[in-house]
Amino acid sequence: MCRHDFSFGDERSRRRFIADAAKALLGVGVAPMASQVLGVEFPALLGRPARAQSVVYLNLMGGVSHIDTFDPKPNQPEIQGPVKPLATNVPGIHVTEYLPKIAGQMDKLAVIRSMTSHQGDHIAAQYLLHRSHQEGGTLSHPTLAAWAMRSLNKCNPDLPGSVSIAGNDDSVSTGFLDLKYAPVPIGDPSQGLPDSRRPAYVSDSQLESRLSLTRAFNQEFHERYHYRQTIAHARMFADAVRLMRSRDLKAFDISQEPAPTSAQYGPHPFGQGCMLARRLVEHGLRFVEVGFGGWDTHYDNFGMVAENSVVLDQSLSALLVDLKQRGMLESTLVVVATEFGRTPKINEAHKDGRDHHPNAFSCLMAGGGVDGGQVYGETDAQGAEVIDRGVSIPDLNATIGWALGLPIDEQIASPSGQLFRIADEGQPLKELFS
Amino acid sequence: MFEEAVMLISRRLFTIPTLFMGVVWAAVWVEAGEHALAVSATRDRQEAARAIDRFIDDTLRKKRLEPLPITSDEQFVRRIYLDEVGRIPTLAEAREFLDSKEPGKRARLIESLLQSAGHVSHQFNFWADILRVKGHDGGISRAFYIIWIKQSLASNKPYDQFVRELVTASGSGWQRGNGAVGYYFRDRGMPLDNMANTLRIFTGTRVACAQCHDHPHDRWTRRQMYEMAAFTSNLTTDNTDELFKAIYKVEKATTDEELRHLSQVLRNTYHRDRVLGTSDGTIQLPADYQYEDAKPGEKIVAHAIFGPTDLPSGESNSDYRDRFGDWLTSPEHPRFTQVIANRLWKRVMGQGLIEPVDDLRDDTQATHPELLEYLTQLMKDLNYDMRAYMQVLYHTQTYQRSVDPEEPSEGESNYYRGRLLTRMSAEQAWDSLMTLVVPEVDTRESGLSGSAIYFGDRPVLVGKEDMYTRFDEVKDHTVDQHWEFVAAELKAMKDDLQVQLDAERAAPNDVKPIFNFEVRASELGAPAEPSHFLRTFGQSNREFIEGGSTASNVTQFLSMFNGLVESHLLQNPESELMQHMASKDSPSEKCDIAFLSILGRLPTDEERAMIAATSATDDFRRHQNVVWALLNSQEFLFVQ
Repeated sequence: MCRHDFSFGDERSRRRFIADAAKALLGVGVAPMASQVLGVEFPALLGRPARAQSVVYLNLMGGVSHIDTFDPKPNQPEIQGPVKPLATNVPGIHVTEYLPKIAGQMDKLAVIRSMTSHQGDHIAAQYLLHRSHQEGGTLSHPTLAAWAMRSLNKCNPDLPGSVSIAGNDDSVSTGFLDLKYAPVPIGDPSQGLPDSRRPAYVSDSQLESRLSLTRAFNQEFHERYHYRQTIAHARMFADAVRLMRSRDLKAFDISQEPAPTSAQYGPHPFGQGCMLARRLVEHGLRFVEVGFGGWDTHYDNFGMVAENSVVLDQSLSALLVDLKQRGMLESTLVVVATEFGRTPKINEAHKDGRDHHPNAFSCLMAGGGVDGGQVYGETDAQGAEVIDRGVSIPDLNATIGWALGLPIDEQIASPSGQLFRIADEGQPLKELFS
Repeated sequence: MFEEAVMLISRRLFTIPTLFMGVVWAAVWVEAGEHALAVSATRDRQEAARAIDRFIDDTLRKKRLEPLPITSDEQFVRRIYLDEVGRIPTLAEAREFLDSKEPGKRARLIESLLQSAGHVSHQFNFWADILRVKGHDGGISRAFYIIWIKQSLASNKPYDQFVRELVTASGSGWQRGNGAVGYYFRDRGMPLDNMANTLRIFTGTRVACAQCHDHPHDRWTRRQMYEMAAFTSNLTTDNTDELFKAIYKVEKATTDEELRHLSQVLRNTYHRDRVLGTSDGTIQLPADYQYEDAKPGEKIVAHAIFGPTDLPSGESNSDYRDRFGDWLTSPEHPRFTQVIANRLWKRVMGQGLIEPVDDLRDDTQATHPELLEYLTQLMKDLNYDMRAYMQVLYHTQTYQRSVDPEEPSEGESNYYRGRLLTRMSAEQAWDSLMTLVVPEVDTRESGLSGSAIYFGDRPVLVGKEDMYTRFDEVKDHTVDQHWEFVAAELKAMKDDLQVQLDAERAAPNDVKPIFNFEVRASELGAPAEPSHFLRTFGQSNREFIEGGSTASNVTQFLSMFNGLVESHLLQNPESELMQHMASKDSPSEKCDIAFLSILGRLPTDEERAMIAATSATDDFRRHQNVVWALLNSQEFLFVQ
């Protein structure tokens, strides 16, 4: 693990940051002026020192039925169907019977029941979830993970700073930011980083010959073309070589986990992905997303939610216990997010399905300084609308950024000159933290 | 025919001259107008290409940009194969073109590649990405949809007909020739999403967010979303009729595991997914409808929210989808033709005249408005013949220019002063590697797709029965007939499997692999498994429209360093590349083969010196290192 610090990469970016901050806060636009005004104090603009070193972001794709998981509406069969509420280890907080193990870890979790959005289309909503902005036009907005890598030092210079396990395209995008901030995608956690070691019959010196010949062949091409992607490609070439030779490559190898630990997480890809995420965070990665699809329960909602919940219940509870036991929970923010909720109305024509419902849904946070055992916000008796302290997706992202100590008020310019903030107009939920 | 001609010519004369102020352009125009119906001839396509070049050059002059020179034969042959066929040329193909001294060899190659099997494979990937084509849905095969798309492309079905068949499809997928129903199955149970996708893909109009509320950034209202959805309402895409239920009931009581399983497969494959019902053009607003202009739950009538609003009724009173198909594909539709003209322009030229190609607003501006107008008309004149249209574009100088050394900033255009450097798509990278591995790569079959019947993970009853003939047998079954069929079919499949296994046991040396994975991307799963090379390199997961990516990532390098290149090429003496290199004795000839096969050109003197300078324990290893380094070079992965 590493000390929390800001990295501006180079002096120019540092100066640009100061200038942007000055513009935003003081209405001045001249860098020398800004440095005079801000002097050495500019980190104070960042609000507060970070709590979390790393984020494990669990993305439940498809839209989780909040009513059947974290926001039960008991005694209303027309809304709740056959699902029963379940008391947790925190008096007064209930989840549903689908989540018995999570119920036992409620003291570590903050449940945000007042998530609300206007976006009911999966693609657009996943876009919003990762980037805090509506998709539209030619611009591709930066993702939270890429933005975090732009602002934070890598703790482990050999390894990628960010990884997406079984994620979607948004999870590996950088938007308009440099591709060097892109999370490295991993499909199957049990495969770790495939092909990351040279074959035994290729000696290190032969590998070196190959690499230097490749560099020589590339020389002319590099001189001829000046494209973002060829530059990124050349840098990743070097990253890949360093990675191949790193001792820390073992971070990606979940077969090194003891069998009992692996069994705690469960044999399914999501559980194994959560375990890999923990190993990666342990080796200094900053942002690890684990994707879990199949929550789009238009058909047979109760059957599908029950089936998915077995996996979620085991994986998330194992992750929290494991992080706690290793003393990593304080420095690791765990986020459980989904793009929207599902309708209180049960659609009988579709084997008791539930349709998209962005107006109200639930997300969770744990670790990274979050006070466990709390519920934030409230929905009405039907779970249809938020009636207390509504939280937008930008608010959720601002909270993650704030916990990581990112400069959430920093504005950066798109290639066309428009200014953007990491979480748009979102405000962090500071109340969640102690 | 005569009336058509008059209509076409008069349309041009009346609409187009207003676009052209200069005398020169007016002259070009009159000439083009006289040939309105003759664009099918090669000469006219060349002329259309020259007209396009004039639009481009004119803008370049206005912008004071210097066009780059026409590309070399070496770059051209690699580019044209990758763009038209989706893979690098083979050693023989590269040599044949480079050695030819014939004038007009580029035009001839452009035309012949458009007729090739490789072109169908490449275009399939393009459409599969747009239509989010998946080979399975919950374990039920959708191969009929894939076959239908490939056949449509192979027969060069006119685009308007292709689209019309998609949006008006009815019935079962395995009814022969009926695979277009896969379009509705893809959005099973989600009619609003389906309509939103249809409008986005074919008219470039985004209405998806109007499913829940008025569009925040465009003019579409929630009511309008429903007015469009009314055209395709009242259809069912999943069948729970009496036969289906009756079979299910007996199944539950069946103790024979094999019989029950086969019955499930047959029931879900042939008796479940069908597009049934006729749309009467009405739809109910949702219970949470929130605007003043109608009540929640009110029934509203189909209404075209833009474009030709007096819908051609013809004989299509029965199903409103026919009217919708008429509206959508009408040449009068203000966006339908323009979207495909721009989409294919981007496919050929690397950047759209409008970007993105599927988010048109009232104030959307093309970089070259007159050119887009011209291309839209050209598409109509060519009767939506996609190959002919692309052929015109490939014939342009604009297409054949060298690569611009500078990348325009994001969202900007270089106005086609030169081509933009692009990374190969995942499919191009895979297909190019396969070109180096196996012969006849364009026609190799995997045994994975198609209409074969599988049992015990292998095709059975080949030549006797397939998914289409079986559909004909089972479609009108009663419950009793279903069970008789299940029992007979199970026996037939088992017997056939036994015959195959006996034959393999008798002659173990003649056993051929059942499946073949060294095939083009279009023959593999749709999409490939998440850990496959194709996905690592950015193949779409087919969840999102055009969800593919050409961004680099570290895992791609690892795959090229230690994975596929080793296993399929360097360690595989049977591979095309290794065999060709082995056939030469001298080190210098071996290097020539490697360069020609991988980059489509010979090494430079500098490169020969670099190779000589590298340390290697022997020549064999040195040549392996050369192949490895070439495949890991940017010149391999980027298309010039």
